[in-house]
Amino acid sequence: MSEAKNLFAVLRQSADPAAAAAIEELVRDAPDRALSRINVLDFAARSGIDEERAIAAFLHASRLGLFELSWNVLCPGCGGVLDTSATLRSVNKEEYDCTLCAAGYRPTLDEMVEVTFTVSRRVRRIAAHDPHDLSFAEYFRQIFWGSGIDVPDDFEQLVEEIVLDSIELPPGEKALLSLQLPAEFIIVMDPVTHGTQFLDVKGEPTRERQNFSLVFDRLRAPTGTMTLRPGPLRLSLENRTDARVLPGLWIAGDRLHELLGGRRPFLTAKRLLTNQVFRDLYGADTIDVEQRLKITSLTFLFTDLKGSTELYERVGDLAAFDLVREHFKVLNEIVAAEAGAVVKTIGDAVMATFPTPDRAVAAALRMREAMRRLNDGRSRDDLLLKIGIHEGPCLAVVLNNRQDYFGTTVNIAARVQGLADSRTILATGPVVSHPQASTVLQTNGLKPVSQHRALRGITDEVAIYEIP
Amino acid sequence: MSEARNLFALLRQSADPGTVSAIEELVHDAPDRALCRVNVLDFAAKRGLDGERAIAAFLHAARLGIFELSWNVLCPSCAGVLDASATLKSVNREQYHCAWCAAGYEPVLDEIVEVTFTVNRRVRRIAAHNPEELPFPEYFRQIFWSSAIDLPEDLDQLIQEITLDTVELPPGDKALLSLQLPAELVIVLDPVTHTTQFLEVKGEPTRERQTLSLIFDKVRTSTETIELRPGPLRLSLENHTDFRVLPGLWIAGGPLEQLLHRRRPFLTAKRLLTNQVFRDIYGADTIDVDQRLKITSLTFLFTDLRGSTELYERVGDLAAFDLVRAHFQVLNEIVAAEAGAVVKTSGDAVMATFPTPDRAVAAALRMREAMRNLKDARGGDGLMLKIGIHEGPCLAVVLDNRQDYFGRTVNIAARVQGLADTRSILATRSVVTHPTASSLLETSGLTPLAHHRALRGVADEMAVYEIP
Repeated sequence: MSEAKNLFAVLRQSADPAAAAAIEELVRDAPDRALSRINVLDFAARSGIDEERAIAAFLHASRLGLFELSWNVLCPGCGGVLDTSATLRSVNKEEYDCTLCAAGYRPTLDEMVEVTFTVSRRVRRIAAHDPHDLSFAEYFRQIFWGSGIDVPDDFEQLVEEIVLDSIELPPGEKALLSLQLPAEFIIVMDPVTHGTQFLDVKGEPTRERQNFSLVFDRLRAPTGTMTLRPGPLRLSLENRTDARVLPGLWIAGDRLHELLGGRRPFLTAKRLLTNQVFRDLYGADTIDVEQRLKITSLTFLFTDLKGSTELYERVGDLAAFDLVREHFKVLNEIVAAEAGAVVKTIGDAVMATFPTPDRAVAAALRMREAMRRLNDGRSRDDLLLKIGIHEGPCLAVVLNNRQDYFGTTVNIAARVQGLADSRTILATGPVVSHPQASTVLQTNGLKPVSQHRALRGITDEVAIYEIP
Repeated sequence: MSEARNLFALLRQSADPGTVSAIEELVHDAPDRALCRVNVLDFAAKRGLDGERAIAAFLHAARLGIFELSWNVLCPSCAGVLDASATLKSVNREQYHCAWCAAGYEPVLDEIVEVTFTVNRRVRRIAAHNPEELPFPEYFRQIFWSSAIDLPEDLDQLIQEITLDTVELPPGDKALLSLQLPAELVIVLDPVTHTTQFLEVKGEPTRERQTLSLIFDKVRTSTETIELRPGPLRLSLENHTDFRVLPGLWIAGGPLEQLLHRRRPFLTAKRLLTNQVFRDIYGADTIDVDQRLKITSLTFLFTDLRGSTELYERVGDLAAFDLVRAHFQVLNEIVAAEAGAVVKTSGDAVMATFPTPDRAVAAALRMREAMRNLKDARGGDGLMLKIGIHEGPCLAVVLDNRQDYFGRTVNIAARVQGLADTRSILATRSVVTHPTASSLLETSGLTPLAHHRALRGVADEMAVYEIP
């Protein structure tokens, strides 16, 4: 643990000390399962630490090798992990199938890809480092479900109630299960291979023995549904993989739905991409040149200095550059403080992203105020910011060696900025009607004024509001 | 040499094979002095190689460790090297002083900073790896003078003609020189410490012995010119440094002037910064965050896709992205082929730099043509490029972890692009009146049409020319 102690000392230098201390305590004292696929937002809420600081601290900790970062593709239906990888580059399938829900999903970075942190085995050895030795219940808790499912502490007891029977089947082995089928919808499922079979048990109860056999292999066969009658079943199971499988018969009743419905917020890939610390630490290395990952909703904020050309002419390139750089620094700090990230600067313009519209609106208000202070400090009034905000779907891509975004939403956001006058903030309908964003505006006593303006190249009229 | 052979095999994979063979031959057979501070443009011209390919090959060779790249600050007047460093980051003084010319110069990247390549000592050992052991004329040739000066083969003999006396003075030693002063301006110069003393010898010849003493230390002091009379001089020289110095008495007459005026083209820092291979290999690591380096003349080309927003809406973000990326690739190739570099992309816009206006014009014409082809191959209707070109002074800086440019010139270039319509290329007066650019247009049968357009934020109305 002395290597770990050194790493934590380094961590305290780059991350919030309280967050670093909480993480150190977690690594030292928490049960194994609390160190596997950590849900950072949940950790922050429980330790009373600011979410952004917690995210930053875990990112720095991963950089130092204390934790391993994992990108998990989730089933939006059941919250199960469909695929897991140390890098977002592996999220390269058009569609991911969930056998439990018998549905396919196109991966979007908003809700379908989570980011979790597992303690590194060099720092602390935990059971989940060898998932094939985990118990049935712990395998589900730590490996099968994503960190968005709030698995209760007494999960093992729940399993007793909603799982008719389960068995641990070593590689290559067969087993026979004899059981009485109740009149329920039953899911036979193995969490390792994701092999699933639905049993619809209904009709007249029978005393005659029904037989059914199931093979587990690496091919994820489509989920079938078999209609059976209540009564005795002989279920033959065969494991054709080289790993242990954990088949069980789950009653698809209210208790299971309650379990799967018990969701909690989790760290999405989108939130990480639009986090400044993540951009600074991981940069363009996140996405492959060939990848184009969908995000359902991202908020874009563009800024531009008004009258910068006159400014350059008046004070000269050198002095203007120092001023522009100072303004970049101020904007960078505000963006980072509002959970956003600066994607790039173009001349004296800035392109930034935020996970939600309210954060972008809050940042815009702070930017306007900061520029006022910057001008007051110089006793001049010539650094005026034009700001535009828009929210919508986009593609996360790599362009020109940089993680960037692409799509109509990005174009519209830039166009909206182009319409802004000095000191005005222009935002589109989806931004001002976002509940939290509208609360931010109300709290500040600001009423967005609707503007009817056409955007070049956009066929449908986009509602634009001026935030006075 | 077997390690070197492997390195050349590697080099062949990334650089033009013909050029690589020429470099390998050079390293193998050339005299030592031809491998010290190689002037790449001269090397290419003497061997009939393409200059751009030669630059690319030397850059790759430097990356592999075959050569060491050196950034040398030159005196624009005498072409002496005022400072040499492995990185441009060390070029951080406001002014560089040339003792010989008794003048100070601001280090602009056009003509004052050269880039040379010296063979790595692990690949081939040459005399200049120990400059302290170079004979007097070779020290001047290989260390004191830059690659901008075309020194004659018989430099040794020439130096004998234009120096009154020279001496090699080991660390801590003294020397007494007895000589006859002619009625000339005589410069006592040590090329190691850059110490200089001007002696103006005039008036009545005398038989009386005059005496003068000079001390060489690491402090570069500028001294007043001393007036002496023709006749005997006893010159006492003292070396207070811990290295060898090479003082000599140079007659500042016609032959010396002639020697210093033998100039040849050399690789400037500007040309390297605007080279695509250089950007790809060295990226943002060239300039410090706090540096702002002046360039007297750089040509900026901005492009933007016309109707891209409609395109995204029509074909969807995914298909639009593929098309936009294909167009980036085409533009990248054209820029690189015309000795330019893509600085960044923003949305579907490209910002590129070129060493001279003619290269930018040639690139613009090729881009227009290539878009026509891209459109045909894709079968869709239309990628049309709006192009703007402007030339002028700017600052080379680092912004947002990227080597970037700043200043009025950059702003104007972007604004000129903003005025362009479909398929038109707009260029400013300094671009179309550039002799090579204008003859290129003539050869292509294109007559630029003048439009007087007001550019937002630019005080004077500028003449903007449309290249039809």
